[in-house]
Amino acid sequence: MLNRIGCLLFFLACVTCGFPQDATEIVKKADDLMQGVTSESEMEMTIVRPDWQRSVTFKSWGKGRNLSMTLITAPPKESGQSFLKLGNDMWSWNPTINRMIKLPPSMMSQGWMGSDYTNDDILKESSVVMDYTHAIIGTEMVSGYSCYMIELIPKENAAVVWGKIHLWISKDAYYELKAVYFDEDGNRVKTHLLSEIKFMYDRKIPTYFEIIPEDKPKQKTIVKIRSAKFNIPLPDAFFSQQRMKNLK
Amino acid sequence: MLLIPILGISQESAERSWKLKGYLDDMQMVQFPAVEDPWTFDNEIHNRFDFTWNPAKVFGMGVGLRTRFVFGQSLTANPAYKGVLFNDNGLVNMTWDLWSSASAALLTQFDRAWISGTLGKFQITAGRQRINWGQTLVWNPNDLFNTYSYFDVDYPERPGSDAIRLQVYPSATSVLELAAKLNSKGKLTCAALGRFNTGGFDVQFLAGLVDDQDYVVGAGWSGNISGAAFRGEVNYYQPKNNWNDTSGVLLATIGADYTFSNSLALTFQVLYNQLPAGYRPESMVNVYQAPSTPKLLSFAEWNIFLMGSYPVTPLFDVSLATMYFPDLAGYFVGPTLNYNVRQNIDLSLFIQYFNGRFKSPDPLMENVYFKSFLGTFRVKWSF
Repeated sequence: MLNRIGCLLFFLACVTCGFPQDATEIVKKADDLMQGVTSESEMEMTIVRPDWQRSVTFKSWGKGRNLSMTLITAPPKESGQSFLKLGNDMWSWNPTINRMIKLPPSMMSQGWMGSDYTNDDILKESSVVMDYTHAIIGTEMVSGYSCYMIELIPKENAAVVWGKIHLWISKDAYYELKAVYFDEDGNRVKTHLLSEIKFMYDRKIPTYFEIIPEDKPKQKTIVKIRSAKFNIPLPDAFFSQQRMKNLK
Repeated sequence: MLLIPILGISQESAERSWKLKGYLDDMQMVQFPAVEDPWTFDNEIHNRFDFTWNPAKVFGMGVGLRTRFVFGQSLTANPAYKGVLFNDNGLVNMTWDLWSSASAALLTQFDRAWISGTLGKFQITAGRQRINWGQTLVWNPNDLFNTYSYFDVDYPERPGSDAIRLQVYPSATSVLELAAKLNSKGKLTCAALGRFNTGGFDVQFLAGLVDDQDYVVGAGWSGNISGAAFRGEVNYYQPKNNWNDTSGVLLATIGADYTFSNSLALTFQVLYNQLPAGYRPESMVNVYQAPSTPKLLSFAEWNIFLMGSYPVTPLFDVSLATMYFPDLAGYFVGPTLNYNVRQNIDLSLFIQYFNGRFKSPDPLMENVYFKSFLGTFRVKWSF
C-alpha cells in the first residue's frame, strides 16, 4: 500500500518536475512574449527562391487580436501603401492614387506578396491560444535550448486553416523556436524555425524566422525583426482611417 | 553584425520627415487599325518624382512632377495631339512645353502641389491634389473631381485638380468631406461627402455642383458577400438651369471582385452611363482619352467589364481585361504581362484592342466602325 502511494507520489512529482505547467499556459506565455498587449515593430521579409530573391520592409502596429495596421516602407514601388484591420473589416490605402479600398476576406488567405507567409500570419487572424487545445507531447532540444514539444488541435468551431500544429517552446524563457504546421489530412505543410534571440525594447525574443514550405524545400521566406516595442500606449483610436493615411 | 548598420538606417528613415520616390520608364508603342494598315510608332520616356514633407503633425506638403519626352509618328500625323499633351485642366496652368518640334515634345507638369494642415480630427488640404471618392475599381461615377481614363496604362497616379478639401473624421471608419475646385475655364465644382461603415459595408452619400452646370446627388458602397467584395456607385445629375425638366442624367455601376485560393483574382463591373441625345465619339481619341466630365464616363451606354489576373510566379503576373459594349456591338480586349526582372525593374507588355460600331445619329448616314490595336512595351525603374 505504502509502496503504491509512494509510486503515485513519485509519478506525480515526475509529472510536475518534468512538465511543471499546463500546456495552454506555456503556449500563452510564448504567445504573449511575441505579441504584448500592444506592439510596434519593423520587419524585413525576404522571399528566397533558387534563382532569385525579393525583399519587402514594413512597420506594423497591433493591439489585441482585432486592431492592426501595416505600412510598407520598401521597395519603392509598394512603399507608402498601408493596411488597416478592425475586427473583420480591412482596408488598404494607396497614396499614389489617393485611394482607400475596402478589401474582401478572400484576400486574407493570400501569401503576402507571393511569400510563404500568409496575411493570416501577419494579421494574426487566428490565435494559437484561443483557437486550439494544447497538450505536451514531449521534450526536445532545439538550437541548444531544452524545449517542450506541444501539440495544438483546433477547437471544433475555430475558423483555422490547420489540421494541427506542433510547437517547440523553450523551457526557461518561453521562446517559440520551432513550429510545424499540418493540414487536415495530417500532412506537414510548412516549418517555422526561429533564432537570433536578441534584446528588443523590454525583453529577449527570437528575431529571425525562416518559413520553409514542405513541398518546396528549395524555397523559403525569411522574416527579420529589425525593431520591436511592446505594451506601448496605443489607444484604440490610433487604428483609424485617418491615421492609416499618415503613418510614418 | 550585419544587422547593426541596417538597424541604423531603419531608425534614420523612421525619423525622416520627408520622402522622395518616383520612377523612370520608357515605352515603345505601336498602333494600327488593322494589321494590314499602316503602323504608327511612338516612344515616350517618362519620369516621375513624388515628394512629401511632414515636418510636424499639423503641417504637410506634397509635390508630384511628371516629365515626358514624347516622340514619334502620332505627333507628326496629328498636330492636334500636341494640344492634348499640353492640356492642363487646372485653374493654374502648371504644364510646360520645355521643347518641341513637329515630331517630338518634351513637357513637364506638376500634377500634385498641395499643402495640408491637420488639427485633431480636422484636415484641410489646398492646392493641386487628387480627390478620390471612388468605391468601384474600373469606372467611378462618384469620383467627381478627377476623371481619368482606364486605358491610360502609364498614369496610375491620375491627374490632380486645383482644389480645397476639408476632411473631418468623426470615428475610425467615417469621414465628412467638403471640397471645391475650379477648372481651367474657371468653372466651379463643389460637393460634400459623408462615408460611414455599417454592418461590414462602407456606405457614402454625396451632393454638389459639377462644372457650374449640373447639380448632382450620388451614393456608393463597398462590402463583402460570401468572401467577395461587392461595390457600387450611383450618380444623378440635374441641370442647374432646368431644375424641373426631365433632362437629368443617370450613371450607375455595380461590381464584384474575388480572389481564389490559388491567387486567381476576378473583377467584374457593369456601368450604365446615360448618354446625351445624339452623342457619338468622333475618333478613337474620344475612346481612349480621359473623359472631360464625370457625367460622361464612357462612350457607350452599357459597359460590361470582366478581368482575370493571375501571378504565374511571384515575379510574373498576367491579366486579361475585357469589355463588352452591347449597344455598339463592340468589345475591348486588353491582355497585360508584367515581369519583375530585378527588385525595382519591371518589364510590361500591354495590348489594347478595340472593335466597335458607333451608330450614326442620322439614320441616312452610315455607321462608323472603329478598330484599333495598341501595343505598348515598357521598361520601368522605380526608386
